[in-house]
Amino acid sequence: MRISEQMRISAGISAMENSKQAVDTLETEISTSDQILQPSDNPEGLEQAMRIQTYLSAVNNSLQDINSTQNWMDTSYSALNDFVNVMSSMRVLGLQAANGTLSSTDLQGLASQVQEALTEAVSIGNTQQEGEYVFGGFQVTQQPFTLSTATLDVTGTNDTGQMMNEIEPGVTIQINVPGSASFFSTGFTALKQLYTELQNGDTGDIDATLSSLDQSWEQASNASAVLSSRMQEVDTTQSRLEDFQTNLQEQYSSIVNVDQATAAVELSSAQEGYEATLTTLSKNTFQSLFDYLT
Amino acid sequence: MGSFDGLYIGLSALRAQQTVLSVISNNTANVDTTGYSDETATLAALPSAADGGVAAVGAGVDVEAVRRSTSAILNQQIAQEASVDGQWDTMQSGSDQIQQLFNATTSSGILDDLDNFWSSWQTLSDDPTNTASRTSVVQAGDELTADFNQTATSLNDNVATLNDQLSTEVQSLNQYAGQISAINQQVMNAEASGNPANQLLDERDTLVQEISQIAQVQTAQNADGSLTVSLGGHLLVSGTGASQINVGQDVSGNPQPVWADDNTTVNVSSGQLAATQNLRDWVQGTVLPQLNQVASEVITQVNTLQESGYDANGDQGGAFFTGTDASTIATSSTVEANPETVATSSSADEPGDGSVALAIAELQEQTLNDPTNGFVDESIDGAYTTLVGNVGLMAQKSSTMATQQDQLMSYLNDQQQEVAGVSLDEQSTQMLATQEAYEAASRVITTVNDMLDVLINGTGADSSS
Repeated sequence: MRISEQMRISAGISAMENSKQAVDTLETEISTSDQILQPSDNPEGLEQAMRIQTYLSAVNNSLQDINSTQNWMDTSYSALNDFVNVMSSMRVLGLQAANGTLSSTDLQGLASQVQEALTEAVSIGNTQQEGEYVFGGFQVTQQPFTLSTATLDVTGTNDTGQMMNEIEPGVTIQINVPGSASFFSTGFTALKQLYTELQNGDTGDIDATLSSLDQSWEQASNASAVLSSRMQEVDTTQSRLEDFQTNLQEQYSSIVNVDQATAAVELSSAQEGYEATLTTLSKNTFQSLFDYLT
Repeated sequence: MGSFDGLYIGLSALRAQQTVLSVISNNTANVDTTGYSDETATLAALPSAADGGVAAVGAGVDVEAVRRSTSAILNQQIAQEASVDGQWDTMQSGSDQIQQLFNATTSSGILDDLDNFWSSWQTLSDDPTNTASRTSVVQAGDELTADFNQTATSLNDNVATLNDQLSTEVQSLNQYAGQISAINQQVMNAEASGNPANQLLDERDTLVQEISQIAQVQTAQNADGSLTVSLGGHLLVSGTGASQINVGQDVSGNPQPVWADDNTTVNVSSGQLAATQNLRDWVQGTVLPQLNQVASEVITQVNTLQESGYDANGDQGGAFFTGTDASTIATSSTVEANPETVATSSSADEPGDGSVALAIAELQEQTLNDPTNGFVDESIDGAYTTLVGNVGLMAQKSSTMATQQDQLMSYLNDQQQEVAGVSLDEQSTQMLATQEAYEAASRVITTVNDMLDVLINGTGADSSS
């Protein structure tokens, strides 16, 4: 084969450019720790990574949602338990009054305890979480229950709104107990009734009142149990999503990020190749017979 | 046979060897000249003088011709592959520019804007009475629309640049055609007068290779030395005449090359010009429309949900976005001025209901069916992802093809160099041979001269006596 001077020059230049480019690409990959520097580096991989990124973002949103969901549910749950406790202590008080051995003064003393309990129950119904009423249904900015100190009647908005939060992409759960739940009104009415009966020393119909109290207590306990099981579900979903999040991050990273150790080894081998090319080119640069003619 | 024949034969040798040395010198001088073909002086023995005689001795040596070493087939092959090479090089640099607009692994770009936008809606759905969350939704909308606008603007700029490039390439075509026709004239003149036109032929070969990079041409060599060049079945250069190409318009109003004489479209099959047109059509016909589809789907879906819901004041929601595509999408001036008007609830006066906001957040993953806008079982994020994948595939294909074609070109160039390239080793060896021959001829002349001296001065009357 005939070798012309231009062949040697162009071969030298392209060898130099190729090995330099190999070094440059690896250096960029290592410094950015990305192996997809632009879409053309791996279009299929990038598409996959972007779909993972979208899903990861949705999972992150759900996890963020779960945090505020948990706060809201915790507040609701402890308020419900307080309500249950009030009802159960008033039931004990009612039974005490019912055995007929107490004087009317004693009964009036109990009546004022009932009044306090009613005030407490209403204030439980008006529990707030970050400025919003948790039992207000969708009317989170309006106080759901108002106690008239004159008549001891409780009026309320009774909004039935069920707040649904997303706890997993595409999965929602009811996070609130709306104030329309019957145990509130039953409980309030029963307490007022109890108060009136005790105040008047008229304990003849107290059994009916106590059974209303029982009903309210039972319904509130049930609501609390339902809420508790939902909270459990949220907790389970949270830990599952956190695992999933880690998993997705690993998948994303395996497509997009560069394996630093492998890249470093490749870089040093590419650098050696580049140096070898340079050495070869500089040592016998385009000699010819002319150099030996005297 | 004459007494001085020896001298003349020696002289012919000196002259011939000098010419050979000039050729070597010229070859060496052009060792790095692109397109130069190695030249060889062909020596031929001169026939004996007309008087003949029994012992017919030749009349010396003469340079019969100075030929260039070249392979017409290789040149033609190189010109053809140069078209493909020019095409993919242009495709590569063009699609590379486009893909930079869709660089998705960095934490910026439309996908991140979309995700932030959906995320801001989800936060708002948790706490619809929170004013800061409302403002965040509008801000995320601003960032998203700004990025849509910017990407669309860049793509449109790109189309404009490609159209400019097309005009420049047409100008170059005209220029090369003019140069080739001018060289045709010179070659015809030279051939008619019997002078070699090696340098002109080299120059013309180079021009054909350069014009081929822009558009694939067919060439035919004529007996008078001229080269006929045709492009897509239409004569471009014929003899000393060149056809003019203008920039006209195609059916959709885009610039395209047309023949000046009959205003028909120039049929370009490969080369930079074809690549420029393909790139432009791809950006205009695929990339921009797909981006617009994503933008218009965002507008439609978000606005539909907004209009079905109620805002913080209990009023029915209005359009969140204005505009129809990626260039025009913007957050509406109403929500911009007053984030309270962002609808979050599905019924009036239910401030704690974030179901509309949640429905918008769920658009992130939701598979949509909106065939009129090209959405079939595809989510908004998914459609954008597909677009980026398509852009990446185009850039990858162009880059692979360009690399392969570069390798083929370098192989063909090596083949061509093997025939036409100058080798200094070869030249120096020939120079040694020429030097030897020249010295030998000189020696012959000296000897003949000495002999003649004996004949002329050493015979006849003794002049000294």
